[in-house]
Amino acid sequence: MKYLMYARSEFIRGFRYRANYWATVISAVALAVIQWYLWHAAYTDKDLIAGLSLDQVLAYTLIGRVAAGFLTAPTAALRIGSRVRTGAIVHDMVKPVDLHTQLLWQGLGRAGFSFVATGLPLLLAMAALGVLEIPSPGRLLLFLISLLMAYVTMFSTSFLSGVFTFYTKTAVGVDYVYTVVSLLSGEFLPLEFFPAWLRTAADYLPFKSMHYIPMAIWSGIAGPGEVVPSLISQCLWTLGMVAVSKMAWSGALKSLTVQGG
Amino acid sequence: MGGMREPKLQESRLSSIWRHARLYYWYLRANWLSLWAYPVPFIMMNVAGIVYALGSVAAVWVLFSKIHAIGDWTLPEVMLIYGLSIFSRSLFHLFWIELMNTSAMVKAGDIDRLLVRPLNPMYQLVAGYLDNDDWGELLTAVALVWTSLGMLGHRTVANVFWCLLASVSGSLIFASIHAVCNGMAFFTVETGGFSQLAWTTDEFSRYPADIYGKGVRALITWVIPVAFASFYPAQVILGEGRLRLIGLLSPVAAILSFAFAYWFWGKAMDKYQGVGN
Repeated sequence: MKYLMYARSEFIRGFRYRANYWATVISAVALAVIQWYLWHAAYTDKDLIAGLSLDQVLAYTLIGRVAAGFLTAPTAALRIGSRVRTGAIVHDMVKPVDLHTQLLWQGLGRAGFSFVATGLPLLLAMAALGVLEIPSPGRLLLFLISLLMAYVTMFSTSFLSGVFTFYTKTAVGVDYVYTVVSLLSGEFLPLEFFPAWLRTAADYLPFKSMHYIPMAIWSGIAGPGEVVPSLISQCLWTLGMVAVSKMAWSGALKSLTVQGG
Repeated sequence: MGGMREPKLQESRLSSIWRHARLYYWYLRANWLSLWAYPVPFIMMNVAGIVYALGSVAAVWVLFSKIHAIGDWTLPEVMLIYGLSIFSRSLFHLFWIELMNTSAMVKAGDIDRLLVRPLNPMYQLVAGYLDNDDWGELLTAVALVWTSLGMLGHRTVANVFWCLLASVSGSLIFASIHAVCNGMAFFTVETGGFSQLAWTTDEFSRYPADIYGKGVRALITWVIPVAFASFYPAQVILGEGRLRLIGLLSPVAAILSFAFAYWFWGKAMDKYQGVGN
């Protein structure tokens, strides 16, 4: 399958930059260390905050650090606007592949590399130290499925923002307000901490499919009865975001003018 | 050539510094005007930048909607430390960002251009560019420091000046870390990972340094001194006794770490070989 080849080549490409590897690992460890100390300090005189225990929040944020490399938006998706401006987009259009699908698989290849190279060692180290507990096989499987859907939703959101900059013809896209998306996705802290109005907003937006749902499944914040409904809503959002980004792109193609020859 | 001295080209260190400082005004002026060449995208980008900075500040605010303290620190105290951290970081980002370009310049052989001019090479690199996309974070930082000083009841003229001085000195600490990490380019050429690592260290300065264990705290005080960019200077306003004294020494820590970084960068640059013919 041709798309699989895209993923494979990006996965292999990751191994070429070994000099930087250790620096990347140290960064990932450092961010996990900060989270560990921060939450211990927040729980100094409390057993429960927003109904969550320290162990649950630590599991949630630490597995979030493990998945962070995997869930990083690929810059390729964000640069569609500039590829349109420079005309480089014609090289993408002459290929007999769908651009969204191609970039998605390339992104998955790169994300897969990042997961294997930095996420997995961090996970194993934390599990060995007893800092992070690995859930039951069933929950683990559901977590992986959810994580994959999180990637597709995150990717499609970035892709959509790339297409959006093509319409607006400015450099300012969603990536400039990405912290707001991160906050609403639950990347900084679990949605349980939000004031009611913000929680409601986050529940109605697609962003929680990008982070909160898989991490809540891993950490047990999502109780047994909540796992399946949240996976279903995540699945719907994922399909929805894919459909919207493909539609936006084909709409953009119709009005595309490439200058020069 | 040791014996050949040409007195006319000799310049005292003091007058050399003065010449660089005067020239910096013209660099800044040119850079500032070029930022305003396209005012609408510039303003839009930085309004978005305010939203970007507020997004991460909001995480702290959300946390404090459920708790009253992180460790021993209340919301306004954490806000002051966080504010000083992003104040220092944005000053670094705006004025020193070209340090990140070292690797690209080594690859392209552009360091040659810095070496043939009668100005300090690192100075040329840094002064040659003023970044366009972090003014929003700077404004957010100023607002955060101002607000938290007010909430603490410590908004005096002396404290405001101290926060300004502390942020300039903090930006010098970040500049030192990035100069060392990007100076690695002269040895390894590719520095993406080191550069990313340098950006990660500022995360340690966002929260009170005493929430970390002894090892981490020693690391961010003595080795990668980011605690001197926010936590210790904040102690001049919040703390007392020994902590306050250490806080007052922050600018000294900044100057020492920059002196080391500058020395390292110069030593590393001696390894530069150039490319092509």
